[in-house]
Amino acid sequence: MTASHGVTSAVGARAATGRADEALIRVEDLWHTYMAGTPFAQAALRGVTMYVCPGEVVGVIGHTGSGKSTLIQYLNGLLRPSRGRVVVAGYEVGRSNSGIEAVRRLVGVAFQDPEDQVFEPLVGDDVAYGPRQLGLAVDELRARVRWAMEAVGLPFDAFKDRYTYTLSGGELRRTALAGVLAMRPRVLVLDEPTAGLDPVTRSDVRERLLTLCRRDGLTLVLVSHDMDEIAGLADRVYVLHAGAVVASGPPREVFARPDALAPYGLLPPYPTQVCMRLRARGIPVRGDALTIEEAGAAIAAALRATR
Amino acid sequence: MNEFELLRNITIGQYLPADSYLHRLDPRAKILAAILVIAAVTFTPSLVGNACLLAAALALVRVGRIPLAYALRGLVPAVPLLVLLAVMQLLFFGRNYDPTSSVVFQWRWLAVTIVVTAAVLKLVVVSAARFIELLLVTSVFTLSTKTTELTLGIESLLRPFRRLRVPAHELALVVTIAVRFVPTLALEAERLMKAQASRGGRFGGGRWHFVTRVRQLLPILVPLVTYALRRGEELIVAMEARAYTGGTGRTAYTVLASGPGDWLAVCIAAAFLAAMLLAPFPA
Amino acid sequence: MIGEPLIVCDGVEYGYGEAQDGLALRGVSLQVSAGEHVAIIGPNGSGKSTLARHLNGLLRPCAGTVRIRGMDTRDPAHTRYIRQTVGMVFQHPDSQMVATVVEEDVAFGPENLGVPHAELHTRVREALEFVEMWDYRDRPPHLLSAGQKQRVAIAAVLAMRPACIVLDEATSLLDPRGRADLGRLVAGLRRQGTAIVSITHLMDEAAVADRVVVLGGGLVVAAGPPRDVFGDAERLAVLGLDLPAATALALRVRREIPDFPVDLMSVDEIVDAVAGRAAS
Repeated sequence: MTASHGVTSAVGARAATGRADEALIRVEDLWHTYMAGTPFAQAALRGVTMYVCPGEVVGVIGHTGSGKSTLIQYLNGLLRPSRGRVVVAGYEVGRSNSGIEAVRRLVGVAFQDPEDQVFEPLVGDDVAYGPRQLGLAVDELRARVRWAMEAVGLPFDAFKDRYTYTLSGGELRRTALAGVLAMRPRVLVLDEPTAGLDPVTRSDVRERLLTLCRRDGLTLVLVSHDMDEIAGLADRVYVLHAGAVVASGPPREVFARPDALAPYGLLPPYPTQVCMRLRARGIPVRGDALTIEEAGAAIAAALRATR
Repeated sequence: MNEFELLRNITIGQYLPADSYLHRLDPRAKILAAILVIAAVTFTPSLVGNACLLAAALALVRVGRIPLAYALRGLVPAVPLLVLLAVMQLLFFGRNYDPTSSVVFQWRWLAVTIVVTAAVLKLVVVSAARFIELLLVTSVFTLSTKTTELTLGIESLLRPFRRLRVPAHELALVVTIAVRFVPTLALEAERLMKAQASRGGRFGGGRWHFVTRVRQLLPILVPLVTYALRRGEELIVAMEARAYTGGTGRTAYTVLASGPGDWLAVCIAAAFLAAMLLAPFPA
Repeated sequence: MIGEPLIVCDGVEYGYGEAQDGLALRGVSLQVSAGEHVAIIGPNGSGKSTLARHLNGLLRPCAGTVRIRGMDTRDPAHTRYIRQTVGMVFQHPDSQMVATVVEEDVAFGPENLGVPHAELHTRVREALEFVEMWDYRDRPPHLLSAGQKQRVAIAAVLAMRPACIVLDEATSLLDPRGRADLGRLVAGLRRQGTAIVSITHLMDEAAVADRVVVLGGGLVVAAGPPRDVFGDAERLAVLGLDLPAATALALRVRREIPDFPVDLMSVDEIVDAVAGRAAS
């Protein structure tokens, strides 16, 4: 890992936060049009520039149709740039196939719907799919599958022989995550990792993702429309609207800026909303509270002060 | 274009809104006319005849106000199949197909002999032309017909056969649901391929590697079928929840009405078929 | 607005397949009155969706009864009437549309009911205008966003003129904008007097209901107005459920300000409560 630079993280005491010149992934002026050259042509990205540094948690927020899902596919070379550049660990993604598998190994992507990703009948086989493609020895393979399953909270012995169609929504999501982790990527890109999960499962999955970051030095790119999730996890965020980056920076700054979200129909995290509304009513609370804890403490302090 | 979007680029089955004579035709008339034109393609073996048919197909593209480049794009996914067909014909037909024909090319290696006769060459050209004509005609048909019109047309045309226990409504519903799910499944196939590629599965490779392409589709087949079954099951529940109990006692939202212009199209198509059948094209 | 019972579940038991050891529902009793909004919450596997499917006869109880306006769902003669009275919107936006264009799909339900041709058009138009999708009437479903598909699914149910709509996790695959749109539609439906039963993971969605029913392990473990149910934070935590964000925030404030109210359900209520105290 590189030495720490610049701004310290908003939430938690994580080390390094992004400087463009040490980026692991760099996206420059990227454009994308679906079904180009047909009457159904539709622009999805219009000149996106972003970077992801080692050890960071980067959040990408935006509505459906903002270009998020398209952007993700460029990060591991599923889409190849025809206008703009994508550089992953020094390798420029282009038309050639050489090196593209290395890019896909380096950057693991878990898509939104786990149903699309879990395709083997048994959980253990499914998690082993990726490492098996790498041609690992049996022992190594088994060790990796075990590690990946335990990392997402699926006890190896209890789950490896379970049929995937008998899994609950939360278990299926964990299996999909383990399948990507088993490739041992340096960057994990997650599209709505906790959508549709019940509250307990949701916070457990979040906790485990943070552990992977802190303990194993994994870099995370988190695509989500859950602002509270982004506020709790991300070091930096990019706000995407109609295929362009309209705001970026640490979540505390971006969410507190009235021009960063509201014009695009996005709402800041719940605690931030409450604090901003209170400030508008003339009550002196901080406007950049991100969590229930911060907002609650700020409100209590303000109420005590008026006594 | 990119390596994973092959399925969504197929133009057959995509309605292309435009204001043309073909778009306005009553679907029943259009179905009958299309059948007649396809019959003409099927029963015309001669080179000159196929040249006429190709011209007619291109004329239809124009009448339907479909951009020519767009119609031709629909042919691209079929090219590997065309090449495969031609290679098979050249390799295996040999002298057995019309022994009287003159030999154009001969090649011998150990026990293998490859003979290409003039008749086989003609067959290759005619088959390719027919294939392209069929693709163009069906593309024009689907590009100018909304699927609702298509299914209503089928249902209406089959109605007289209900006495013979032809389930007109059920058939139409099956076609509707099939068509409705084609894009959904195509997008799902794309998602599956991307998910597998992200986990080290090997996809892509040259556009011309037809065999590689087919082989690559195999691993997604099982999950795709599973997905289709699951969606299908949910759809049945959703249909039941909306009080579907079969065709009896239902009313119809859209009712077709045809005029003389529609039957003119059928007459033109019939006349065309007759002309192709009777014309003294050189064999 | 809230009148006599529309749906009455009495001791409903249900088990999937042969396995009688794991009943999905173990004696659930529940009433929904005309015009009422009931939210059903509970962790994954608590039997929420199974219960939802009993409400219009898609599933029939193994023991106990479900009556819709007095009609037993086990009697096949009532099926069509029951399905018309209680409409359902499901979770997956992709598996609810039958037709290849929006308006034909919305017409599917009333067509099944044998509604005359002329009236079909007014019904389809009214339903699509209500969900603000009339401009999309000739679009194929795969060109709609998930939120738009769910709005069409609601229109498809509305066109059958139901007295109650069951939303079975209908917002769980939507983004916040799609959820907000659906929330507004639900509020509009209630103003028209349509009863709503919403099954959800999202406590903020449950907080706007008249009544919240908490399921756990196939049983009703708590029920009552949202303020009462969410007031018992410890019990919810035991069940693995969250609090609405407003309640959680109020509880946090109360740790330092002991007399701060905790029965708050929305941003507005929190802001008013704080502003009111700051002024006094």
